[in-house]
Amino acid sequence: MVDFSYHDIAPRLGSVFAPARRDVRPNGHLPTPVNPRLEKRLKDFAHGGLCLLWKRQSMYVFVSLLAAIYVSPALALVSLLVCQTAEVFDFFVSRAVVNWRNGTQQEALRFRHLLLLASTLNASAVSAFAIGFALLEGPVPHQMPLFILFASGLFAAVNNHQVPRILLARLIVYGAAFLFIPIFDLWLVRPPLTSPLWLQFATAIFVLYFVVECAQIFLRLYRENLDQLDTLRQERDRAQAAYDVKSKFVSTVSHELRTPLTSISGSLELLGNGVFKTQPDKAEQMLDIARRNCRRLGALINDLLDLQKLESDKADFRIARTDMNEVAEQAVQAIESLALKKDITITCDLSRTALFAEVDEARMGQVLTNLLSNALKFSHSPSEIIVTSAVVDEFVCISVQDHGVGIPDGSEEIVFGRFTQVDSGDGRSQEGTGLGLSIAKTIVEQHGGFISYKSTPGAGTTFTMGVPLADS
Amino acid sequence: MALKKILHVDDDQDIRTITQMSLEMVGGFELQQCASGKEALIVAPQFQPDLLLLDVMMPEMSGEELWHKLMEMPEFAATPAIFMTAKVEKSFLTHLLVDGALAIVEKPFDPMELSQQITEAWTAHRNAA
Repeated sequence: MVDFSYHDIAPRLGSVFAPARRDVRPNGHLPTPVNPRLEKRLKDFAHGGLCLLWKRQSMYVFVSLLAAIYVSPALALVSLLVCQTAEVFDFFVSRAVVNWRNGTQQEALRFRHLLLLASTLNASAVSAFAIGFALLEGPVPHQMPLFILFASGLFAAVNNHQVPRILLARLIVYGAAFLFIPIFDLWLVRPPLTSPLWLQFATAIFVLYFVVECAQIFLRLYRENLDQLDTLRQERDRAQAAYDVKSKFVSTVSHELRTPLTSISGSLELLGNGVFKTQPDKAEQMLDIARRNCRRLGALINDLLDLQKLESDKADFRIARTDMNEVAEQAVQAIESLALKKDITITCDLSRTALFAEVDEARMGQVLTNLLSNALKFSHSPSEIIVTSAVVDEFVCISVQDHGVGIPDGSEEIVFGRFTQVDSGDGRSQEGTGLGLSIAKTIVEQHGGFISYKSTPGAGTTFTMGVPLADS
Repeated sequence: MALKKILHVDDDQDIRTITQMSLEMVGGFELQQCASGKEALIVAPQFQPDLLLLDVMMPEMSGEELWHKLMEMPEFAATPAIFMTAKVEKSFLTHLLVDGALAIVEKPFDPMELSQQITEAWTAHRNAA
């Protein structure tokens, strides 16, 4: 079994058999990329063949020598020549396959045909030799030729299982010769059933069956090996992707934390060095900056830790049967004073009946508060925010509608993304951490629900959150 | 030739305020500030700064992108640039320097020292030219 990565093979001289890459075939078909497993099979096969070249050569020479000495130099020489022709053809094709890169499916199929041809030629040469040997021996027990065929068949089973078609071709050729030899003797002599020639025939059948069994086992083992490699590769890719996401997140977080810190330390440095000794209002401005960014940094840290907690599944939600209408009312009450300051009225248009869901009440409050504060941020005074609730498709849905600037099309990633905020249009993107909706989405999705929005730029936005309705 | 006009681009308002205090009051430079690359591309030709002070991580157009866009204009092809960043990766920072940035100022920065850092980098660049 070969154990290597074909990417490691150093490229060799250009090969005669490498077809032109990625050209449109004369019949107008566009090339399709090669099936990776087929490519691996072909390369394993070709590489294996090249590695065993000298072993095969030594076997040919040894057997030819024996044949020359004990039976017929002519047979030995002719067979050796034919075998070598097949070997040379196989060598060039195998080398082309090994050096082949970024192939197409059409190229792969062509290589498979060529390798099949080479193998069949080779097997036929060996079989012809064995048959010739047997014929020259006459109707006697044929130890040498049958052993040669058996050995070749076993060799094929062990070394050619990467491409089942080629293995099959070889076994058919060897098998046919293997059976032909005893059958020919039987046909020639027509002995009674007690003759050793019948025993020879029976043995041949049994041995052939054994070789086929071996081949199947090797085939199965190879396939399992390939499956395992595929699984490992997928796992590794998944782990790598997760690591990359985490790396990027860590880098982004450290940047986000340093930004308010810059303002805090900067303003305090300036103050501390007496730059504004004679300008009390500028000094006041510095203190404001420091204060504001301390709050910002605090909120950011809280949100980050919250997000981390939610994602690590250690969120420990306190799930209880909760009336979502009540949660909505409470969230609206909490934000009422802030809305009044901005001259924005919040209207509740909730369903008459209680809408129960199995949720963590505090977390749902957190989600609705986030939606409401976003609606406030995006509305210009005077304006109205409408909160509605309903059951849709077995989900308790609560919608928060504002009449603000709206969200441009295709901004989904910015809306729900981390540290990204859609511009509210009046330069106040300093408010908020950019994590609120990301956290809200995580919370709701962990409850088996969803958050989505519909927006018309210039007219307003409606955010809808849904959680599964509790069984009554 | 002394350094007089600096164009500062940063998307964070508070950092712009701090930098303004630092460069105008402590350093005595003539300063123009922009909140985005888009704005900077309009202001730069009018202001004709001697030096660019650019934040790296900005939405829509990064500091690096802005710098390359400005260098495409003939009047700014040779204008030196100093980058401010909270970004940690050393490899990223070295590639900016290799591309020709004068210096990198790491955030958080000391507003009392900023002007001096800029002047030193400017002088070194002038002497080398």
